[in-house]
Amino acid sequence: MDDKRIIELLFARDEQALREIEEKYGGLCRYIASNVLAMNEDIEECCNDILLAIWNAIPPDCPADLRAYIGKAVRNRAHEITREANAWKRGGRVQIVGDEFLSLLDDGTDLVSEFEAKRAGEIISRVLDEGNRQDKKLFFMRYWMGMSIEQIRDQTGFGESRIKMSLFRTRKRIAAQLGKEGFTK
Amino acid sequence: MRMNIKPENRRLLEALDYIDDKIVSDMLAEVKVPEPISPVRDKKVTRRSLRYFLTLAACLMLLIAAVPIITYFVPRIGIIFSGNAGAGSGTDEYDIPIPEGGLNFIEHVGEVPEEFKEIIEDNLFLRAYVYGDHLIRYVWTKEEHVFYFFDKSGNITRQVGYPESEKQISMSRKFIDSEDNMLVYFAVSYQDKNNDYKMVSYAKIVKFDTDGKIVFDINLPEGTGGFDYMIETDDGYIFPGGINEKKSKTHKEDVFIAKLSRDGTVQNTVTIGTSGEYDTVCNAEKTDNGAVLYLCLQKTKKGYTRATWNYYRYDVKNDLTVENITPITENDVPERGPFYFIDGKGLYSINEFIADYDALDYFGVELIDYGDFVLFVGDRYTSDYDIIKDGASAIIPIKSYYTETVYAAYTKDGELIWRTAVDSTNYEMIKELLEEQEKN
Repeated sequence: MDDKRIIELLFARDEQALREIEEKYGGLCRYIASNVLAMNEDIEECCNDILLAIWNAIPPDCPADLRAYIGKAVRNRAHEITREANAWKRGGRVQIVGDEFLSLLDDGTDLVSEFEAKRAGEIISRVLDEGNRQDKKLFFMRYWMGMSIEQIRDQTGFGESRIKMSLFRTRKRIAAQLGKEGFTK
Repeated sequence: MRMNIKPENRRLLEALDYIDDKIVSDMLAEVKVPEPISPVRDKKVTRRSLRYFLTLAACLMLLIAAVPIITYFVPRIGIIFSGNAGAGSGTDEYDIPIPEGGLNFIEHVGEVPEEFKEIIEDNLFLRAYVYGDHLIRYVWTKEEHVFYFFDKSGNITRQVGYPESEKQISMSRKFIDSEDNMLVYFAVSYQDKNNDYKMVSYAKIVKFDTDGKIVFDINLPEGTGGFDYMIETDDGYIFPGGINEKKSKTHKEDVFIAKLSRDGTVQNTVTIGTSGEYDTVCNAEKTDNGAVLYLCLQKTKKGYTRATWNYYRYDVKNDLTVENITPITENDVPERGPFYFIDGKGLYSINEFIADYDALDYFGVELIDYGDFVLFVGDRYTSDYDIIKDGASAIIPIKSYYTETVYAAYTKDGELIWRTAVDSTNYEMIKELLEEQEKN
């Protein structure tokens, strides 16, 4: 079923929409959640929360892109669960990816407000759009989706060193741009 | 060496949440979703997780308990359906900021005939559905559901109210026009306060007579829903839909078929499906002595791989006696809409008429047949705005929209005769969202 029809069903308050979302995006939800959360129970809870959140949010929300909407919602909810339950310490893979990503600002930069996080997000988007598509894709797979280098290698066919070099260069470009726009000390 | 991640620096991770939607969408479409990472399996952690799970479940129940109250006091669904700002409404009334760059209204073409001026001025056909010679528009209020019947000239011919039951916190509706009168299907769901706030859902079929009186009002068994089809037979109605599998936690569903007599007696029911899988009706057609149903029964899938399906043609008589079950291929299942039949023959894809802009078929895009020409009625965006919602379970920036309803007349060859539009933006809802955001 196409996304427009699913949204139409949500607007009609038809629970079939939830079944369609589960069928179409259930795998994506669980995958994104599994890269942040370590426990099966947490992953299932996260995906169930998202179904409820979607049911409550649409309408009045009317997302232009349902896939991005769900992807972002799952990622956010998964991070929220880690924060709420201090699951950060449970060995979720997000810690490793987080360490690596944060190392681009290991000089002590602090983003203390949501507003700053949003602005940083806009800058990161801009840097990604200015770079080549391949670098953008590798960055997204590693840091947004939380995929391992091995998984990226298997899917893209690139060597590990090439992937790591691309990620390093992108992180550097982001750090430089964040610095220019006043984020680094 | 691992860094000690300071809470402030986690904000940088959150910055990734604000990456542009377009990038997320493009990339998600491109990246193949692999098998999820094997979760940690450790007894100690499992017990800790159980406590955490129970805490979360308790919070969720509290949240769910609040839903009926929120639904009562903040009737957003109602606002959406009754939110006809109309041509007379505007941002002055609500003091809503117009987005930068203004509103992008569609170009008006030709002269609107006199007989349509009032319909358009009042935006009467906003989100209305065409059934035979009449249109039906549904409006939700806190007290009741109201169905307005119009003729094609915009005269209200009938008004039917259906009271909102106290416990029914959400209802979806489909209009099913039977030969003798109107049948409406509701999907009812609510939290049962007397049973640990367990979610209860079931299908309800209501039939009205021509005066708007209820002929019958029946509830199908718990777990039923998704009735997209109705086959009208000589002695009643066949409803093919779905039913949740018992003990299912992940929306597994079987096909459920109900046969109703004309007075609403449930004469027979049939349940078909693969245990533990999602099974559905992909299409349904009437035959001389019953119906042919095209069933899509899910094969067992492993892990998170995409599901595959077995297809069957399922012939039943009027009383649901099975005549024949034939395995078929996907190609043998007739395609569903959105298509429009004009004069009972021509098949018009909606895109043929609205290729020059994006119409929003979420709200119902209709083609009304006037003999020599057809009138297209549909909504489109005139602009959008971002709202950041705090406190929701998923903290994400959302887009909401300014809209207009387009009225466009076409010849049956698809040539545009005239086109105009009326502002249908729900300014009240925008105001409410902006106020909520300001509070946060």
